[in-house]
Amino acid sequence: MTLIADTLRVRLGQAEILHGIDLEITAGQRVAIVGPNGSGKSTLVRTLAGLLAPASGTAAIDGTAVRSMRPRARAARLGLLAQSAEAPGLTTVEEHVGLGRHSKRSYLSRWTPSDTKAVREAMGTCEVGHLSSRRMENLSGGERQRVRLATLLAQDPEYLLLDEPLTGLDIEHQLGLLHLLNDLNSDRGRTIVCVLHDLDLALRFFNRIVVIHEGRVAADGAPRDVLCPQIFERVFRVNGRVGCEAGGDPVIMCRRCEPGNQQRSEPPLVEVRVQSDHTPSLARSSS
Amino acid sequence: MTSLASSQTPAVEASPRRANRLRLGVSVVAASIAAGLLASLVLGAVELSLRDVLGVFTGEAAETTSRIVLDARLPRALCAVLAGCNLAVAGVLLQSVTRNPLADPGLIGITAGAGMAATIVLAVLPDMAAMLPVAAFIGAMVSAVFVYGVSWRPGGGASPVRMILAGVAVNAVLGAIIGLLITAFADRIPAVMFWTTGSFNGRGWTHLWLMLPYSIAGMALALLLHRSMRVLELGDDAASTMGVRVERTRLIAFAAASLLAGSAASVAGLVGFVGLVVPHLVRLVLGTNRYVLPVSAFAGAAVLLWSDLLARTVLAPSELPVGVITGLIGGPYFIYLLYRSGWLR
Repeated sequence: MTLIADTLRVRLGQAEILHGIDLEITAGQRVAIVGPNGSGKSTLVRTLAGLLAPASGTAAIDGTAVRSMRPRARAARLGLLAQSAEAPGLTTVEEHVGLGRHSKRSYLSRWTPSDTKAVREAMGTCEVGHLSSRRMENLSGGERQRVRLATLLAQDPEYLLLDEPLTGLDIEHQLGLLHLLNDLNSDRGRTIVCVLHDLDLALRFFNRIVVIHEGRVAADGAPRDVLCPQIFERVFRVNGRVGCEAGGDPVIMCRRCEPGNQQRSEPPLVEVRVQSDHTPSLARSSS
Repeated sequence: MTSLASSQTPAVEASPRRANRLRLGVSVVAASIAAGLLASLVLGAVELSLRDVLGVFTGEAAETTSRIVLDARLPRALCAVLAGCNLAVAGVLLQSVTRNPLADPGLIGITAGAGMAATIVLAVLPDMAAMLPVAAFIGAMVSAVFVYGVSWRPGGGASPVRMILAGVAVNAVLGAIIGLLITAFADRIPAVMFWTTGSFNGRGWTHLWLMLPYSIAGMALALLLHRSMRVLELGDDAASTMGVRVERTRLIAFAAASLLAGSAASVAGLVGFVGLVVPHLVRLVLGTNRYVLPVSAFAGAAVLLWSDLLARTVLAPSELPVGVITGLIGGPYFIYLLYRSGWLR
């Protein structure tokens, strides 16, 4: 099973955002898509999800163009956690998560115990079970984000596309979500494609990083290979490298390039990392 | 599997309070329709007792009584029930499809099309008054098709915002034409005004049969789309990735709303308030969006049935337009509900 972008060109209005992206994501991978603001990351993910029509090239899953798939069939293969979504009024958390079961049900089928089980599991996994009777409009931004993730889990697609899913989450839930994605990937075989801004988290939690720059793939491969000083400088306009913290975990160290002085040999480095694996309250699998 | 945080997963609890509200709401609406139907058969210009009315159905009543009940009061009451159902469901569909709480058949231009066609018949072609319901229905459909066509873009479909803007523009143009016709045919203003504020005066079985097929078709489509419409409220992108055919759902929902509102307008005239407010009223009472469509259908029926009853009994033997009743009583009651629920505080 493979999700492919083949010479993908995408226009939004008159502007071409993606200039011929080639990408192949095989089932079971855990891929972070990173890049500066406006580089085309979200456009790429939305096109892979079938929301945008390419000007040329194709986004396909197992050889079938995602835009040509029936929506319910596509929803069983690909699910998207978009950057933002509307929260309908007077809808409880449980009802919202239940909407994720839409693609699993025909027009006339009734709600089944397996739907209830899937919804409760998804709410439990995303720690929103205690909010089940609360209305969406009364939740905090982070709680809403967790409910949206639970809705995606209730949909249960093979490929999970997530566009900046950490937005609005506190550090505990950011790390919890990334561990959860790891587990969905390793335990359930779900393929994860996640747009991230935090390179340190991308380095720690993903086994492949795709760097998008100005609508093209600037680098693609194992995190330590991709996040090289050249990419930091050319794409992110910072001086940076992957280092090691005391415990041996990789960490990204970087500083802002000064205009006109990008080639300075030994700039002082600033450490920008999170204490992921040492956070006492961090959730861990019982396994 | 880990969860997002480290605490234990709490059990999901159903909301018994909300379930009780639903049961209570449905019971009240059902009882209200039953009582309204009975009262509609008993009350009127000719005084009948409950025994007289029951006698009609057991074959013991006089022929005049049977004719009053079966040929005048019963079809009129059923017309009010069906029109109320139609308008409320059309309101739910349009509010959902446009994701706009102010949407109703009036805002989208459907009733303006019916109004203009009816005004043409009543003011310009009074000899063809028998064609009024058909003309009003055709007017509503033409207007609906025009609004949808104007708001549609290749590749993007009909966006909610464009639908509302096109509806407002069509309303403005058709309102101006209606004003022009009324000015040119000033002697026919009373007939036009009575129709445009809505009435069930003189409505019989013919009107009911005229409305019924479109109502059945519209309701069936609405029920079929109900789930997709709820997902569509999450936004086009989310709905699309969750398996909804966004454009097709929106088109069918708009068509269903047009059939329902157009057929109601063709029989009842332009009754305001029901399509806009009944869905909100149901949401406020139930506290959830989940059962709004079916409960609104019955609530709309109850509201219009009782409004018609009041319209023909408050100043009997004179009759008020039913739209006057729905506006005068329903509006303040809705404001009271908004206040009580905290929306206005």
